[in-house]
Formats: sequence, C-alpha cells, structure tokens
Amino acid sequence: MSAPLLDVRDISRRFGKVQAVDHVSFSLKAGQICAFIGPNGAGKTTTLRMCATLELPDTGDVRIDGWSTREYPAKARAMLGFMSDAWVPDPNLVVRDYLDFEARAWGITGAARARAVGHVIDFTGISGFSDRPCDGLSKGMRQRVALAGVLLHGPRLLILDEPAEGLDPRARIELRELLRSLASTGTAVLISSHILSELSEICDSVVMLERGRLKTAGELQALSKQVLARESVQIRCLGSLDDAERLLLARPGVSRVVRRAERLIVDFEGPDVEKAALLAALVAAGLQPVEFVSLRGELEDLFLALTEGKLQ
Amino acid sequence: MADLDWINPILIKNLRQAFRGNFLRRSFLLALVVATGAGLVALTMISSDASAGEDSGRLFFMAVYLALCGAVVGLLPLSAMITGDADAARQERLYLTPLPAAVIVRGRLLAALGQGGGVALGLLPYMAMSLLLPGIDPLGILVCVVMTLTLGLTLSAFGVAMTSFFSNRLFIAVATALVAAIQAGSMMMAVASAEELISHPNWLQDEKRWLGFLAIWSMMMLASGFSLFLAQLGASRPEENGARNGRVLAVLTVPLLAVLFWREMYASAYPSLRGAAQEVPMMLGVLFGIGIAPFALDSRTLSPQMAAQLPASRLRRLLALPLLPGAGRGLLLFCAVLSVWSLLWWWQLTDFVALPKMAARYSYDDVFDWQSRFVDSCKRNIIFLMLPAPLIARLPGKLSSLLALPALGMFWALMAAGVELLQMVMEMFRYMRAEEMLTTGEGLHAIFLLAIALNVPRLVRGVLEVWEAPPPLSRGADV
Repeated sequence: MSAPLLDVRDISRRFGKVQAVDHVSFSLKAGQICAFIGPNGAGKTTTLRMCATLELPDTGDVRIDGWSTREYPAKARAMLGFMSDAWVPDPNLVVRDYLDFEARAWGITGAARARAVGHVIDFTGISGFSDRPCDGLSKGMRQRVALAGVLLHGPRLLILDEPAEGLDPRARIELRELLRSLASTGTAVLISSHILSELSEICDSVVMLERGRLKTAGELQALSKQVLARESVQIRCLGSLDDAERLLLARPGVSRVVRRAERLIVDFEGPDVEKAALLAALVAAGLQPVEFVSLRGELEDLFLALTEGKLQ
Repeated sequence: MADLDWINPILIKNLRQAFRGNFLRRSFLLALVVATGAGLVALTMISSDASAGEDSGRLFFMAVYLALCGAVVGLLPLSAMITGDADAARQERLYLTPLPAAVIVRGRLLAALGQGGGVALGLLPYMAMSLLLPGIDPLGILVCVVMTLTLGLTLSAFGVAMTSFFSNRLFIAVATALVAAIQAGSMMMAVASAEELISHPNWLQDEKRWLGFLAIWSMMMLASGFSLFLAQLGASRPEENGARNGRVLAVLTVPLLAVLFWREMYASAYPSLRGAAQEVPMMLGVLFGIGIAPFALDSRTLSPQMAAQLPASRLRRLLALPLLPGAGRGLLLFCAVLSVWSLLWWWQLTDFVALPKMAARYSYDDVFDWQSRFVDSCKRNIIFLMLPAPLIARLPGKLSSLLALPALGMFWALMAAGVELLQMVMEMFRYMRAEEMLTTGEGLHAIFLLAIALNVPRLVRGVLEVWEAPPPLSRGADV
C-alpha cells in the first residue's frame, strides 16, 4: 500500500474564541482527486491554508510526501501548488512575464525556464493571451493563469480553494479536464468547491467538514453506498411512459417514479443486480429504453444527508 | 531581460511592472515638468532682478531640488509600497516560493531605489546647469543629493518593512498613511536643510559640521538597517503574520530604540546637539507610542511558533516571562512606556529645534523662529497630511474605500488628540515641577518598576510554568 502524499494528522486551529478546525485527520494518495466540502464557515479554507503551510496548526501536523509542514515547511512547499480563491493579478505585468517571474522564483534557470513556461502555457491553453496584462483578463482566464503559475515547479500535490467560483460552464468544463489530465500524471488534487455537481464528475474521494470537525472522509463510491441507501435513476423510453411507470412501480426497490420532460426519474434502493433486472424488465416489456442513467448526484446527496443545514 | 538568472527575481518583476505602468512614467514626467518650470521661473526672476545675480545658482538649484526631493523622497518610498507585493494574496504567493526573505526584501528595495535613482538621474542635467550660474558650491550640491538619496533609502526601507508585515488592507492603508506623513515632514525638512546648506556654502569648511552631517547620515542608515531587519523578520515568518497586526505595530516600535541609542551616544559626545535630533524621534514616538496602545493589552509580541524555534523548552519559557519577548504583553508595555518616556524626555528640552537645524546650530546661536513655527505647524496639522492617504493606498472596492476613509480619519484624529493630551499632561507636569522626576534616571527606574509591577501575575505564573508544567507540544518527528 503506497504512503499518502498528503497526510493530515489531528490538526486544530483556534482564532480567539472560535475553534475553526477541531482535530481533523485525513489523507490523500497520488493521482487522487479529493473533494473538500462543507457548509460555509466549516473550516475548509483554514484547513487548506494549513495544508499549504500558510497557517500553522495549534496542534497536530500536516505531512506532504512525508515532509512535516511544521519541521520542514520549505520541503513541503516544494511538493505543493496552492491556488487560492483570491488570486490577485499583478498589475502591469503580462502573463508570460508573470510566469517567467514565478519560474525564476522557483529557481528554474536558462533554457529550462523558457521550456517550463512554454509547457504550462500550452497545458493550460493560455497561449492566446500570454502577451496580455494579467489585470486585464477575465475571471476564467485568470484562473488558468493562476493554475499555470502553480504548475511551473511540477508540484505533486495541488490544493485548490474554490477554483470554479465565478467561472462560466465552458470554463468549468475546461478546468475539469485540466484537473483530470493532471491526476492522470499522478498529481494529487485537493479541491474545495460549493459546486458539488462539478466535483461529482471528477472526484474519487471526499472529505467533509462541519463546524470545524471532520464529518466524513473516504472513497466517494464507498461512502455513497454506505450513507445513501437510495439512488435516482433516469430512464427514457421510446414506448409508453405510462406503461413504463406502472411496470417500474411494481418492481421491488422502486419507491417513487416522477415524470420529468419525457423522462422518468426513479427512486431506487437495492443492489446492482436488481437495478440490472429493472432494465431487463423494461426491455422485455417492449418499452424500448434508450437511456438508463444513474444520476451522479452523490456529493450533493451526501452533503445533504450528512450536514445539519445550519449556518456554522 | 531574457535570462539574467543571477538578478533578483523580485527586482526584475517590480521593474517590469514599473516600466509598463503609468506611475513611474508620470512621476518622471512630473518631475521634469516641475524642474523645467521652476527653473524657468528662477531664471526669469534672475534676469529681471539684477541684485539676484549673485544668488542665481542657488535659486536655480533650489527650484530643481524641489523636483528631486519630490521624486526621491516622495516617489521612491511610495513605489516601494505600491509596486511591491503588499497585498496579502501576493505576499502569500511569494512566501510559497523558495525565495528567501532577504531576497524578497532586497528585491523590493532595489526596485524602489532603481526607480527613484532613475528619476534622479533624469534631473542631473538640470543640477549641472545650476553650476553654470554663480553663487553655488558643487560640494553643497553633492551633500544635498547624497543626503536626499539616503533619506529616500531610509523611507523606502521603512515602507518595505511596513508592507512586509501587514497583509490586512486597512492596515496597509494606515501604514501607507504613516509613511506619507513621514515623507511629507521629511520633504519639508530636506528642503529647509538644503536651503540652509546652499545659502551658507562656507559651512562645509568646518570639520564639526561634517561630523554633524555624518551623524544625520548615520542615523538614517541605522534606521534603514533596522527597517530592513524588521522587513526580513516579517517576510521570514509568513505563516505568523496574518491577523497579528498589533504585534507587528509593537515590533515596528523597535527602530525607536536605534534612534534613542544614536541620540544618546552622539549627544553625550556633543552636548550642544542635545536638542537637535528630537523632532523625528518625537514624531515616531508619538505615532508608534499611541498606535500600539490599543493593541498592547491583548497582543503577543513574539508568537509561540517563533518562541518555539528556541532550543530549549526552559529557555523558551523563561523568555516568555514579562518584559522579555516571547509570550506577550511585557515587551509591548515596555515599548509603550519607552515611547512615552522618550517623548517626555525630548519634550522637556528647552532648545527645541528641528533635525535639519543640527548643522545650522554650529553657525548660529539663535534659532530660526520661522522654521520652528513651520515644523511645529506641520506637526500639529499632521491630520491634514493624512487625508490623501486612502487615495494612495490601494483599497479594494468602492465600499471598502468609503469605510476606510472614516476609519483612517478616526485613527489620525485620535492620534492628534493624543498629542494634544500629552501636551496638556506636560503642562501639568511643568506646573507641578515634576518633569525632573520623569526625565531622570530615577524616573525611568520608577517606570520600569511600574511595568514590572503590572506584570506580576504573569511573572508568578511564568515562574510556576517553568518549573511545573510539561512542554506545551512535542516537536519530535512523530508529531
């Protein structure tokens, strides 16, 4: 079993009378994309900042690739890239010069620097505006530039705080694809966002905080199965929807069927074998199902199931 | 700047920003326009007034010097604060890179010096022109330029120190206001000093006067060194800087100690200079002394993490005792008391003259009333000097700016009220003939004893902690 790339051990942080983070522990392996979620004020940003060595925990420790952020912050920083939700562009600096500065700051010299800058420009798709001033860019462009900046030194762990906030759907999809391709190269990504549907698409694990405490952490699918007994299945048939609805309601495990825009949304509870039988029954009845999709709302469902819905 | 790997990255970035932005360009153009315009006016006056012929070089130089002073003393420190990475988000980005704190601070200061130096170079031809006119001594020009550049360096270092510590925008605004106020006062004093120097070129033939200039120069360099040290301190512990502005304000009081040290050392050697150095330290004393007061009650001076870097837990705990850095209020109280004490010390001196008059005092036994009044008026009306500060500081969004303006106004109004209050207290002391007690060794000892007495509960608790409590947190490899 490989050692975790990010190992958060029992960290706590207090600001005055507020216990922002209270004995939180979790870990992340190389290549994993982990959703870091929780209600507002749950302590997500404080935890991320502690992981990024920008805050010191009052107790506990964070280890990045084995390096303690307390004892060896410089070693830990070399392993990570942190993209804050408040990335502020440097005024009067064009994108390429900004990336050149970041590369210099990371000690990348000579031709290697030009190569590194060129590589991140290509990877993040910002070549079209690499000669424009940073402070004249749109939100989506800025996020890409910020991502390019943190990728320059080849971090093994990416910590992203609300990277999708304010992005239009296209920019979100592009960011998602970038993160997927990063994870495929072995980079671990810890990503905090309130757009849970987006996270559901890319994350394979989840860490959930509430009131500064760890609510749950683990593989997304396993947690979904453990916490969410029921799931929703979206079905579209070429045959009669009335017949399909009657048939489905008669099947075991189906508790409710809702018709939505020529589709049926089925609340189903049971093992995968029974779900397959459901599809087989539709086919056998000649209802010609052309869509049979398990709705991937696990994160939202998990979030609603596990949090209390109160302001923190 | 294609490769140049050996050059400080911050210097390259900040210069790129400065050259692409409008601030430096406009400032340079403004300086040129002011120098040209003022020079033309001076030449017109010279040509229309035959009696002014002997002084034409001085008149022309002073006109150009105004532009130089505005650029080097005004632009240089401001560019160090504005072009620099004062913003919390940008600071954090820097701190996540492997750049050492010294490189960050040095890069920012060099960038500011580069910009100010560039503007000064642009004005050199004008200064050379003044040498073609009669009534001016080249050595005087050289001394003026060197002193002005040193003053610019000091203020820049101070500005860099401020923005290396602060991440909260409101505090950056306040810090910028403080630098702007000191800049305004420094510019006035620099111009007044230059005029005195240029008007009396024979001053420089006396060895004592050179010592006077050397003393002023060394004080400015000392203050620069301390400011840079503090800037590095701020930049080297980034994870401890957020939301600890009170501690930072208190730590920034430390340069006062340098000024005090210099003054005591120099004044003991040259008793006739005792009053000469009081204006600047007094202003610093008032600003910092009152500034830290609200924070002194509940801020830590050095954070537990800083103290934890110390080798032994017992030493750590001993340093956490009152009146020593480590756990909190002791050093803050000490700084506050020191500020007030030094203020009272300087205040009671009868030969109350401004810093630039140090040189003048060698030649004149009397004090120039107009200049004393001018400096005094500047000091009293310092609140008005602060008004443009929110415009200088880059505040986020219109709403924040609107909120920051009354907050700043309140801050400085309180500060001005504090100055007035201190004056009243001093009058009371004079009436009660108690000033001797406060400004003698006995008085100082009494104040220290009072500070210790106020910290007795902490002292007792600290001693008990040293001997009884276990270490606060194991810092071994398995934590």
